[in-house]
Amino acid sequence: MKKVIENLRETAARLLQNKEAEVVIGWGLGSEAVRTQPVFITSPDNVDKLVWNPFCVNGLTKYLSDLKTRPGKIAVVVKGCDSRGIYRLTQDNIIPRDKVVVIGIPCAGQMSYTKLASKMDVSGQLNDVEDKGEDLLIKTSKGDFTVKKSEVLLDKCLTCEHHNPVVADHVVGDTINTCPTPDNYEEIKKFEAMSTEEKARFWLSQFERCIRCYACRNICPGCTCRECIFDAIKPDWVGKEINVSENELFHLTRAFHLAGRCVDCGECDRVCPMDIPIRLLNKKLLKDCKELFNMEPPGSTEEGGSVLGQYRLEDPEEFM
Amino acid sequence: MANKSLKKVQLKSLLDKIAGSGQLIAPIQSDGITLFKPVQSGEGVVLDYQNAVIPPKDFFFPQSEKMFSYDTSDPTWAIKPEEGVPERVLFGARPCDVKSILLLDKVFDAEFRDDIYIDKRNKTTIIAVSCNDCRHTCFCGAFGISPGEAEGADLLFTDLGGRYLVEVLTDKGSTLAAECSDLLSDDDGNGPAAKEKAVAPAKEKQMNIDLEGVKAKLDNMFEHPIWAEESLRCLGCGTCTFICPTCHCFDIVDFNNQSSIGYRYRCADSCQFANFTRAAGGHQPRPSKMERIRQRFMHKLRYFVDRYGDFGCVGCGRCLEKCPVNLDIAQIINKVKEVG
Amino acid sequence: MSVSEKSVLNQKAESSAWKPKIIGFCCNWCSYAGADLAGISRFKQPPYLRIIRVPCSGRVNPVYVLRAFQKGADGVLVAGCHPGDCHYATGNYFTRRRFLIFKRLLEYVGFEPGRFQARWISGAEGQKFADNTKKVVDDIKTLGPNKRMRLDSIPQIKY
Repeated sequence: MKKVIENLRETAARLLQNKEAEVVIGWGLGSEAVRTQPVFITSPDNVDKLVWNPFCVNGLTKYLSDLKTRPGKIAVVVKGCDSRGIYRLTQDNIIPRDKVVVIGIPCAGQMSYTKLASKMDVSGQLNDVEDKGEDLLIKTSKGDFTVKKSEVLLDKCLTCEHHNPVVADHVVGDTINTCPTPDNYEEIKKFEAMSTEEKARFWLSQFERCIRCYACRNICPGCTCRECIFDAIKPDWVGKEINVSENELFHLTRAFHLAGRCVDCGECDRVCPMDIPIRLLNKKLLKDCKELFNMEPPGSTEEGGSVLGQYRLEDPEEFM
Repeated sequence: MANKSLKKVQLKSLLDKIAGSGQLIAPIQSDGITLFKPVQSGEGVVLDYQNAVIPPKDFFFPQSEKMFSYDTSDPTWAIKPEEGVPERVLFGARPCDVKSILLLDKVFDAEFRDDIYIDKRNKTTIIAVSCNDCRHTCFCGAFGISPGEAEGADLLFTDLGGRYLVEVLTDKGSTLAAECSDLLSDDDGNGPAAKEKAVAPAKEKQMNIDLEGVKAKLDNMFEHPIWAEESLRCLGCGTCTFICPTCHCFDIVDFNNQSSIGYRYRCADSCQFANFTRAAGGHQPRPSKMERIRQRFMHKLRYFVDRYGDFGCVGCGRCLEKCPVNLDIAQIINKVKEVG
Repeated sequence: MSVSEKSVLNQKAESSAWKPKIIGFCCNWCSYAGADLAGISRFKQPPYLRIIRVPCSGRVNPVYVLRAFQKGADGVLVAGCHPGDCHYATGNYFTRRRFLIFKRLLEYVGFEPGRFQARWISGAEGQKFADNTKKVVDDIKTLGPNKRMRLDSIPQIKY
């Protein structure tokens, strides 16, 4: 891990020094031991702020759309899952590929802050993390803690299609050779098998507690509309009132706008303050797009684009 | 007023009794998270929770609420105010959340008197519960709040192991205590000392944030580069404002189903949204995330002090925990103190 | 008669008086013409389908469907030209992909299968239009009134 950090800082410093990038977006230490926060480095003197550890959960690609009008190139650090967001943005013509310098880090899985917080005192500052195979030794200013990786791994990391970034101009860290474990949608199948009433009960109780903070939309590299339907005032597609109906309209529409475009980075699920399993909606759409239209995982190749923006004459026919 | 005592095993009966005679709102587990909800009995009420995801503010200032209904086909428009809430008891508010309600009072029940809010406030008896433990994100001490005091509540329960110390703080509280007198006994006099001991861990464990000089410094920091720097990572979502126990900005909207009959409602709005400040004609006084996060932190730590003489934050730690990008108000306070 | 008995009777009276409200988004060039043909040919069909004419079935935004449910529709039908016959050459191919996915999403979150339907009906298929209307109405009648998403029947809890 230390080698990766050194490598990362060197790369960032070189990019900034040679003006190959004006800003490097990466992770820095957070306010708590097992959190990191996105940092924006503009000077080679500050590259020491960049870190790499198993708590770099944030996807950083969305910031590219924020900074797209900034002069010069933007370097962004990505893990395997985030890297698909790069292709999402370039396919959607949000940012030209040659404006982005991608620094890829192969990733073996990230740890969940909420899971860690229930197992250890996370309030200190992080001194060091050591990978002990099955376990993780976390050294903080409040003491050392050993946690079992399998108990604190983010759910999304249990199935992972791309440990190694699908796109990277510079790779720091060694390629991970663990066999990718694509999701076989077992969980989605379980939900599909429920009765209509069970499904309705489950989803309505989830939608009901949504507070419409739009964190799921704002973190999403696929949500880059110039004016979002949920912000539009005229027409007011979705009412501002918080009730189960408007919330459901929001969730179904959000999910559907990402049908065949969602890169499955799982960030929406992580950021939701109300723990709504948003990813279950996205996954269902991914599964259907794959089964019906034989779609590749979105964002895994440079070419491609929106599945619903294309068609084939031999698509399944159910409406005859 | 004399302190009372309640055996721990009797708590459920007490809650059942309250729920039986009126509406009871209490923290329950709902799909893995703790939320305040109206409950029918004491069954399932969680007591070892550290804080609910959504503060009890929602029962005084709901995220969305109808104000009145109308019918424009009627010559008088037939404006009908919404019915008020029933008499109810809010059980389980933590000291920080109780303080936040006092702060909301300064907004809704002062110069301008908001009838809808005041109705809810008057009809609610608040039973606060002291904290025996705290979350890693708690820092209520910074705002002079103690885990064992709850000014603003009507009754204060403190877990002393086998029993609860019940402190009667107001007349409303003493009425409720009198109604439940069969379950309560008089405190033996050791209660207050035992309480100090019981809440000590929460006092010691919480984050130590010092606000000395922060307000004075912020007075001259409107143009400071810190806001641009910190705003870079902000997503512009409304999580921090919607889970905040003191945030109280709202929008007023009319709803009609394309007919003459409709209603007007207000719903929480967030200063982090672009639409919050967008004016007719498209003018945008806060065009970027920089102005918006500055507004949030300045409002809590400077403007609120200027207007109401108190900080607009209670240190509950919700936004620290839930912010997707770790934009942490405690860290901002520390940074404000450090920067030149 | 007790209150509960009364309310049961009221409910029964209400449900027998209930007439399904079905919104049909019909493309101008085929299905709307099909509806016309069904009309001038005097094919018998139940009167519960309210047609909204759209230039192409590809114009139908899934939010329209959700909005219809919000505003009280018991069922929604999207009808367009047969694939290959689109007036705009390819519009309905996009419709097909979109609503294949959307129908599954609705059923995944607990809408009854049949609440939302899509059908290809050409301008020459007046009989198919009438038959399909009958079928949709029968389906919706079996399912009963839709409560899901209706803005006028959101349970209001006072707190």
